[in-house]
Amino acid sequence: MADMLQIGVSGIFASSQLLETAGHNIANVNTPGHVVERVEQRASPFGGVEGSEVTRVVSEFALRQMRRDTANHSFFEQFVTEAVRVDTLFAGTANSIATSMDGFFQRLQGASDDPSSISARQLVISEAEGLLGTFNTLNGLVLDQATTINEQLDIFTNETNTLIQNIARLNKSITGLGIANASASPNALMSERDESLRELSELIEINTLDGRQGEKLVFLNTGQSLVLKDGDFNLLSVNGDPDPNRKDLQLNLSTNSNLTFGMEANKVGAKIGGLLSFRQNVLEPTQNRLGQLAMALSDAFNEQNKLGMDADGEIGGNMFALPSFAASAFRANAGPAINLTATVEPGKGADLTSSDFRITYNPTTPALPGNNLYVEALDEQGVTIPGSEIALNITGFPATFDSTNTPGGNLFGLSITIDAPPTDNDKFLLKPAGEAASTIELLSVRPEDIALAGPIRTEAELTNVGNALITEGTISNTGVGSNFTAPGGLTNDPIFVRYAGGNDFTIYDSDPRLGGATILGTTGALPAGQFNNIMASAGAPTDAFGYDFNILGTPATGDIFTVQYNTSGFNDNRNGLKLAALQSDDLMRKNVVSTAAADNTLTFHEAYARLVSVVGEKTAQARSSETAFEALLDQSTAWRESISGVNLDEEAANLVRFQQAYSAAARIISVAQQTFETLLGAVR
Amino acid sequence: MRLSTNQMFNQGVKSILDTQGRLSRAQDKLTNQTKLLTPSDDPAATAQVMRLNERIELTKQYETNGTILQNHLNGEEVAMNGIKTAVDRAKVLIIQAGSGSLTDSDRVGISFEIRSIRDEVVDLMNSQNANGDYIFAGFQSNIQPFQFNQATQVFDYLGDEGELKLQISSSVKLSAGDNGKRLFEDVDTRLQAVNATVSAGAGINPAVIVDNQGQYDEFHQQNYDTVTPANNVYNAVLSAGPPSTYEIRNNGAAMTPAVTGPYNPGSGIDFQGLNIQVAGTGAPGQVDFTLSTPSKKNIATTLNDLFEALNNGGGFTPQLKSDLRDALTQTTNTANQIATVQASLGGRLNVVDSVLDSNLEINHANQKTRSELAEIDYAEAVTELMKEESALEAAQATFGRVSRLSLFDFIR
Repeated sequence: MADMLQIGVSGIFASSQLLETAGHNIANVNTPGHVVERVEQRASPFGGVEGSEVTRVVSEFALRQMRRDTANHSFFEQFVTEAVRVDTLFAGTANSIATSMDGFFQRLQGASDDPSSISARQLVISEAEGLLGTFNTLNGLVLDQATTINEQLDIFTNETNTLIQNIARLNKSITGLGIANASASPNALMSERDESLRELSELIEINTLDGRQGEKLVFLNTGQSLVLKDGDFNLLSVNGDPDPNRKDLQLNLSTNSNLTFGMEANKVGAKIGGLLSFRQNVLEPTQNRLGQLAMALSDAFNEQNKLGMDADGEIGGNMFALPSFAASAFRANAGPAINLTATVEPGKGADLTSSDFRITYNPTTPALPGNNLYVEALDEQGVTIPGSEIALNITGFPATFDSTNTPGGNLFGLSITIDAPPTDNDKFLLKPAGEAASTIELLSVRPEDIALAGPIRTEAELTNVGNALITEGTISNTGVGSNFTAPGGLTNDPIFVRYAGGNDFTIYDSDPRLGGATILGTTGALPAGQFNNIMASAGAPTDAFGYDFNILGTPATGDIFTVQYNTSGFNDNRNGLKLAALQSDDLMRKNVVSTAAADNTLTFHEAYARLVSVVGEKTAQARSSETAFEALLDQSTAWRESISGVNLDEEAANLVRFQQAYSAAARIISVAQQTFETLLGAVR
Repeated sequence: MRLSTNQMFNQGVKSILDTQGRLSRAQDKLTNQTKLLTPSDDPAATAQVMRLNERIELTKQYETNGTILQNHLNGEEVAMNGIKTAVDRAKVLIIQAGSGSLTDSDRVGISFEIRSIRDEVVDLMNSQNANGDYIFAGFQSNIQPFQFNQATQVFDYLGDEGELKLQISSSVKLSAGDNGKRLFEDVDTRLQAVNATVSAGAGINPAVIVDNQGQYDEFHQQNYDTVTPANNVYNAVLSAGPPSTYEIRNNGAAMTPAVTGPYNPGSGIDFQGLNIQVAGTGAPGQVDFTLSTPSKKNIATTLNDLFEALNNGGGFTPQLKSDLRDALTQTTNTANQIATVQASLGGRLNVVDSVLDSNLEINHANQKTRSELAEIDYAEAVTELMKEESALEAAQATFGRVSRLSLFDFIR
């Protein structure tokens, strides 16, 4: 009968453990990461039940799948969260550069309709301020987001490090518990560790391996260790190199704190990866394109304005001030600190790109010893765009390079200056387009300074016998080297062009009919009926005067044409129309490298539409990926839940079942007691 | 499949949240009346809409420019009509003044009317538009273009050849006016033969009169030498007969073919619309004359000269006769010039109309495309909204039902 009692007692023990476990499951129904626990029992060969052991119902495959899907989902979730802000920013008409540009060019046309009206010009100035304001606002919001990303990166990195440390600590406890007290189960700790791993995979994409003593070893997607055995771990940190305002992730080794691994943005994965990838693929390209647009537009306007005459009767000047940018030095540079700066080369705005540039002094690959700057345009990923490399040979410091002394004559619209020699292989990062959109300023708010008029006017003398006319002329240069004088005038004002007969024109500095005129040039016999570009045809010095014209029709020998400065020609909108026409001119470079036959230019509006549609496209792509991975995550979560989740109804049924078993086991004891009593009674 | 309690709750909540999101999107579309809430809704369409917006705004500006252009042209037309009427009246008066039966005082009377016409014409030539710009001054619209020069007794043109052009479509730029130089200054004076002199023989009072102006103008145009003035000298060489003959030479050399003929002292020599006369004993002898240098004169100066000539008194002299012929030719030339300009104005106004019409059509097409790309279909949007609304109701109802069920409620 002793056995009977023992069987009853083991039944009670077993049932109460079952009840405890059911209660534990019910109590932890809302504990994140809790895995449903079950009691494993077997029948004792000596009767009764024995070895009840509490185990976690878990599938490592389901967990791993869920972690992978979590990483992918949180990558796109983070990407979309960030991208939606940019996307919404460009959706509104209030912040639309397109609307501002429309307004600006319309006002220019309005001013051209009535060039002598100051109020029409004032509107152009207001719209120009508005346009710069929109650029500034958009760029400011984009910059804000870049700052937020830096802050978020800090927070995420701290969270990641906390989790890494937490997992390492749990690893140590689990292995320690296993050795010290064989009967104590580390179930709860393992569930906690699984949850930490899931949380970690939300932040960064990880792989895990099971260690020999039940510890989890955690690796980055790229293979570097985060959590090692024996409680060791490596931590992440953020760092900006070369630009301290653009933080990047790096891995610090616990064994040697001086050794760090830079991490590639597109391989990090999960939330942090989403953040970095968004910055690299959406934010920075957008910011650069905005900068490129602002610079190209300002430069084009400046250049055209300089070819006209303003309402003060002076040659037009720059309306916008373009910024100068300093290159940042990489930390690995041996030094010394030097100044490497760049500005937009006036008139080369159409050559500007949205790329960043890496500039290396005397690189080893490709081997360029001597005194060279090696300039490479970088794509969004920071990789050299093939075919963009330019080697600049320095003959003395300080050295300035622009289109005039660059092999190929195209330095991406920039003028780069270096003041002293750095050490060989020193690298610098130049981001010309980055902040340009908010650093361009209006140089003048005087409406008179808009050069709507042409600086010259041409006339055919009334006494001409032939029927030839002179065209209104074209202006190529009003600055240094031209015949124009500051603030407004011509060195030879007016010039007289006399038809000498035989398709030959002579250019005089004064009226040849009065005598004493000096010949400035002669065209020689031109093709009959094609009296084009008279000044250029006459060669030096008149080809450099900065203006030119054609003669149409048939002149008679001795006919005189004059060209003079457009003194008080204020009802003239020739340059105004050209300023307004910039709207439809292809003045933006599309790609850094292209073939000669390719159409590599865009209008300002096309460029802006492209910028916005690229943002939209990337957001839309990320959004559909997010939906896809959300479905996958739902599925793997459902898989994990169906295995390891707590079902209250199930536990309720279990409670009833285990309670009954408990009662039954208790009954066994009472039966055993009664049986014993019966036996005693029979003996009595 | 085994479901966990949390999963059941999560699924219910998730489906409610998802439907709420879709409902709010449908509502946004309806209230903003656009399919394109953000560029990511349809990046390609967004870019296209932006380009269309640009074109639409630009066309709107071209329309404004067109209206301004029409105003300019209409203003010019009014001025031109006024000048035309005045010039026609002057022509009538010139013909009237050419009648030999008029007395000096009659001519003085006419001269006063000519003077008032001159003032009216000068006023119109110095027309200003609503902004106070002189419309015939070229680029220098703030300077009065026609001003009387007391020293030379000429109305000087102080403007230039500039013309304001307005853009009325992406490719069409039209002049918003004509400059005073081309309109008024570029009017030819009557071509004459001048400096008639007797260089040999005993002739007196040599005269070379233009009989047939048209024929002479043509001859003048073909033969006038701008480089060597001596080539413009012609000689009528008369030889005594009987019969008397003449030969016309150019700068002393015989012409090819030679121009010869019998000379009748009474009727003179007819040559290319000219009549060469010499009194006294002309033959043998020689009369030289020169083709006049072409010159231009504006209508204001012409009228002023005419006023002076008529106001002079002194009878109906040959000089007055010549002056009247000058004035007639120049007013006729001016009238022709004005007619040409009026035709070109009409032409330009027609072009503006047709360009504006085509702008309107392009605009219409652009707006249609834009609305197809961006604007919502109301029926579709409202249906969408109602669909999401009932989906949300269904999700909420099922959640309520499923979550209420618990075994614990049945175990007592």
